[in-house]
Amino acid sequence: MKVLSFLRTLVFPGTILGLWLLLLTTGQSATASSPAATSTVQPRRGGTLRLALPADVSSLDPARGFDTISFQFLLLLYQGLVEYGDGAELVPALATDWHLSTDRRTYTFHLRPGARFSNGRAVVAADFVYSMERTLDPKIAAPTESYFEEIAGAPEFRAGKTPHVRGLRAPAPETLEIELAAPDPTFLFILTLPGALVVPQEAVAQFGANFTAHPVGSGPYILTEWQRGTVMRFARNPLSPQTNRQHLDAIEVRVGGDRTLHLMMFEQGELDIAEVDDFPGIPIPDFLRIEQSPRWHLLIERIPTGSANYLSMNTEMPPFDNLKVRQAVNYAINKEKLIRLLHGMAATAAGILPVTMPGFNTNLQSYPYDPAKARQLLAESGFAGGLTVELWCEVDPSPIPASLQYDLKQVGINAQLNPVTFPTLLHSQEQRKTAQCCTSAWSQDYPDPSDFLDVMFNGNRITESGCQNTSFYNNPQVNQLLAAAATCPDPSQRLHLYQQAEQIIVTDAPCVPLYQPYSYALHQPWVHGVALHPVVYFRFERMWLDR
Amino acid sequence: MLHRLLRRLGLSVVTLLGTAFLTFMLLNAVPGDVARVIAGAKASPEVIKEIHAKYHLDDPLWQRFFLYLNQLAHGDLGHSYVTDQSVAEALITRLPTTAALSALAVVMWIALAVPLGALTARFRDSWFDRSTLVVATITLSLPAFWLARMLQYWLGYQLGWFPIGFFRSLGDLLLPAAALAILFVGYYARLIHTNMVDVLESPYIQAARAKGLSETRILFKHALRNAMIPVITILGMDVAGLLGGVLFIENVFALPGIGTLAVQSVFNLDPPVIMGTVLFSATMVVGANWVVDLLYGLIDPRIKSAV
Repeated sequence: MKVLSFLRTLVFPGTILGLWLLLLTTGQSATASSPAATSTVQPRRGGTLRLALPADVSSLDPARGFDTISFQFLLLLYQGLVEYGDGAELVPALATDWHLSTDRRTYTFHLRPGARFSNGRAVVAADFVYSMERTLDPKIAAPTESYFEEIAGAPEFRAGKTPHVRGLRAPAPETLEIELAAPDPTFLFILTLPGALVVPQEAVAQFGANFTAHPVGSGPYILTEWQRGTVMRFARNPLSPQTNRQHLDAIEVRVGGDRTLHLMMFEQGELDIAEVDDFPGIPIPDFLRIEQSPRWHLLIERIPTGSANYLSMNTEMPPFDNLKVRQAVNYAINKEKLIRLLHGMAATAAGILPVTMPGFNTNLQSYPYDPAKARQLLAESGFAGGLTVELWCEVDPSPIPASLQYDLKQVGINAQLNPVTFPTLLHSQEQRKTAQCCTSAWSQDYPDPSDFLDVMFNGNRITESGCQNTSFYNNPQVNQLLAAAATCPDPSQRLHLYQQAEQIIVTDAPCVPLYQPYSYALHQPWVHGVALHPVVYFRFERMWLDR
Repeated sequence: MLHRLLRRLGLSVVTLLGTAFLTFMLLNAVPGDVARVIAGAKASPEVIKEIHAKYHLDDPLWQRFFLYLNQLAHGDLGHSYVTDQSVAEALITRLPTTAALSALAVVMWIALAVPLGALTARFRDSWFDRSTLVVATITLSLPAFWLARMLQYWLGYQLGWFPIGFFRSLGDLLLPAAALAILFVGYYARLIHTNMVDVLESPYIQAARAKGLSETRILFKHALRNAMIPVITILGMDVAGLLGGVLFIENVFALPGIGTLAVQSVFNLDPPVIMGTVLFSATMVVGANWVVDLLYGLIDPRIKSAV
């Protein structure tokens, strides 16, 4: 809690919000560069960074890879127009600068001269047009496709009515114009997603569906070997001018095994970072031992993730169509206990937005742990004798579902656990009137409140299946606030609208915000530059070794 | 002879078709949208719809099954929905690791089980026999994943005698193969023991003793050969069905074999890969049946003549 308070008081207002506001007020025209590294030791060139993953990355094709793990490796190989700096702020990548038209619909980017793909060809504006059209191509079915639909002409292109997207133009080799159908304050963030990373058309044509195994980009590294399910090797891209991100000669990623094996290998010195797979970065059973170890505790990096875990209640299904029952569930859950069960690897959550998110509201009114109040609310809603509900959760050794079950039992709710595999859980909770209540989680695609509130609580987004509003929550007042915030030109007013919407959502209690996990990186003493990034997490291209 | 072979071939095809049918139907009975697996948790409903169309996920089940069979008939096992890799390629690249691990394990457990089984039969009811029985019972009861993790932790991590994970050379297979062999050695030692006890009491062994042959010669030349006939049958089936044990061992030791592929495909809900690994396993069982039949004939000439 101390760390959380620290972040709330210092990091959020002082850094993230400041940088974010700076971007939105002045950043529509930017020539900023990344802040210099804060390390006092001079980086050394050379060496191979040794990592391990439990399973292969799903794809090294930016049109197809969209999970957290793939993204970290895509950023070794490819670049986009903009990228994240040391924090959540955006800085130029292949664009040197950009400006936004007065109607806030058209961005004009100027490309960095001399940028080359790893096949030797210069990167030109037409490559961006091609790459984003490829992302929008229905035949590709790119996971990030929906984010780019706001480009003018994208729906017509997807429907096969036009051969090109009208809003993507390359008037000169070094100039790119992107016209939106309507102003969108988050569009620059969307340009950091894999679907906006640039690929050369001739290489995609040459390798077809197998482009993932023969990636060609302009990033600081190239893929030299990929034995599926065994090993991936990356080497410095000789054509990349980014010498400040090419300290390592190579990166070797062994594929297979679980977190326990990886930690053992790390402790034997065979891996340079214990776990790069996913949250939390250190296996939970070993966490206390590692954290208290004199050998390792100073080599742990920690960052609050832009993700949050919830107990979602389907507001269309009884008994959760009753506000008092939902409020009772909120009062019933002991969140401090959850944090203890997670060995302090997460912070308690009051609201929907993670602490790292612009618009995080420290004054949010939420429901404290109060079992007596929960029982009273249940009695008022006609469930004085108790009730039985089905709680869907993932099959894993997490202690969370059992703890929720216990807390609910204390107030008279008999929650029967229904543990299922992750794909099944996802499918069921996104299906209308299927899962009465379930554990759920969301992590940011980019640091903007819309990525949580609009996606998960906008009633206008409710669909019969594949619905990410897993509470099927529909409040017209919230929908209006979200619509107003989506196009609001004033950044502070926009955040205010999101805060209003979040307060109404929390009061309506369609879910219980449970906790917000931290991400950890445990590294060897000879590995430097590990600092976890609030959006991207691991940035291997910035690491260096001194052994 | 030809008629019998054709009959066996027909039965094998039916077995494989039945396996394919059951696996396909069970996979489709599992709740969960594979389109969501392919596109990720955040894909829009439009993208999900496109994937449904691309992989014919909305077609009637029987139609999809026949589509799959047609694909199989053309030697195409399909592509992974998650990695887009050809399933056949995934199986072929992982086969050498699984084969090497299995072969090493079989050599280890037979090399241990044969002398143990023979000697415990020879010295029946001795302390050696009884203690072997106790150890055999313990190894039979051990869960594969636990044994593998314990060997990895103690012999690899704590004592540093073996590499603990990943495959770089054949030496890296010693500990995983030992873990796999330990699971079987006790059972085989007891099996050989029981057969040997029967054989050692048979008249032709009494006759050999009466002729003055040495006990070692009787035990390992005359008795063991007959005692091994039923063992060969079970061994063939066990080797074919070894994937069950290999699953755990490969995963614990991070070996890039078919077992790891199978486990990952189940967790990813990746139907083409699940189908591929199940069919591979079924083909191994069917093939092993053939091999066992052949070996039977070689070991016991009476069976050959009966055929």
